[in-house]
Amino acid sequence: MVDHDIAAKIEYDKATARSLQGTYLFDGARANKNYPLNKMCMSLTKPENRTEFSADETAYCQKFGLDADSTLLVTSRDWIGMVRAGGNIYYVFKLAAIDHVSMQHVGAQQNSMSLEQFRAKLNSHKELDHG
Amino acid sequence: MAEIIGAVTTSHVPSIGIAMDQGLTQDGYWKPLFDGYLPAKDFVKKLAPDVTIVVYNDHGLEVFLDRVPTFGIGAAAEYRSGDEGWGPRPIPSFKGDPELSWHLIEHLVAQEFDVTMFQEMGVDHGFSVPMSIMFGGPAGEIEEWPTKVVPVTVNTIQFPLPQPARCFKLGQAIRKAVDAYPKDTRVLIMGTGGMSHQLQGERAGFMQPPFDREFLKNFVDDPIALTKIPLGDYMKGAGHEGAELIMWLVARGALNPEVKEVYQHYHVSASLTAAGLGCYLNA
Repeated sequence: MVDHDIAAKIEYDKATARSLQGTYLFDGARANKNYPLNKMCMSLTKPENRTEFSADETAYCQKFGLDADSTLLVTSRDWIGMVRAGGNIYYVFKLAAIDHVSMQHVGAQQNSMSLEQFRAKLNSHKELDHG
Repeated sequence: MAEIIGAVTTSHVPSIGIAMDQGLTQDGYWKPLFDGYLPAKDFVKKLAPDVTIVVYNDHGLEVFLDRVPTFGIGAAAEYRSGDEGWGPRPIPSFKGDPELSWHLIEHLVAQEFDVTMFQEMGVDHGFSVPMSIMFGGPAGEIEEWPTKVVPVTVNTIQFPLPQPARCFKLGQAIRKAVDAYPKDTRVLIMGTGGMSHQLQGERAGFMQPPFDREFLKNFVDDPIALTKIPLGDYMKGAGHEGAELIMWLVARGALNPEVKEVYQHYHVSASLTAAGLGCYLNA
């Protein structure tokens, strides 16, 4: 017998997450979508791999089987593009370490904002806190 | 006999670790946050735990998408701060308690929590930043950790995440396991992650202090209500990454139904994250 409550619960969580504008629920389909991109980024936890990546980024991406579009997103550090293409922010963020840029920088680019504009946005949340 | 002597909860933002490691804690941006941590340091110092169970999620150090354990427990004698992409944090390694780890694993599996067992694992900022916040000096400085540790991992990266109620029940099962440990051991449990934040997508930078304040209140008064919030609503209220708050529920489950909040601190923001912290005793 099918338990409809379970199906409804799963559907509610997914539908709610997908209704949030600018959110890319990292579910199974998304994890499958660009496994090579995430795997390449994960490899950057080893210093020798970071050296190899920096020497020839395109060749390094090809080694991990990234397609041409994903490779371009990586080499141009198109953060929002990588997230849309199936990159998980925690793995993709390892690329930011290569460039010594912060999550604020990545957040600003995803919002099409300057760093100053994005910092002002972050600060504006103080006003929402009423203790 | 062993006992759970209390719980602490805190956000685990990487930049908080960077601020400590680079000596920035008294800079204007960081000072209010680090000043707010001081009473929590006194709290854990007075509690003097023998072992701290740290509930956290791995962000791509030991766990990749090739295999994602929903729940995991470390059973190593030592855990080192790992290289997440920008080199390991300059902190001492953490001493484990394999005997307690295996006891917990046996007792959790017997309670039908089929945890993944890690015998060799590095720990990332999700683990080390809370440890520095609680056990480091005012600027996070540390020569030797005053407590052994048991890492408990929760998948908060790859959906489906465990249900909030399941996390709470894991905490209850940990409590039973600790209560059954025959050695006199003072155990602190630490829930990490959150509070509201989103790092991915055009919604990056989202925070929602009213959601966090309500969570902090119900964490004490009505944790069962928090276990009934659907994961979708955690993502809506606290952000795609803020769903990490389910890890606080593991710590809450390990406490008595009635608890006393000894201290609470909430700060907007530490980089993209609304940073919360709490200290709790069984009532």
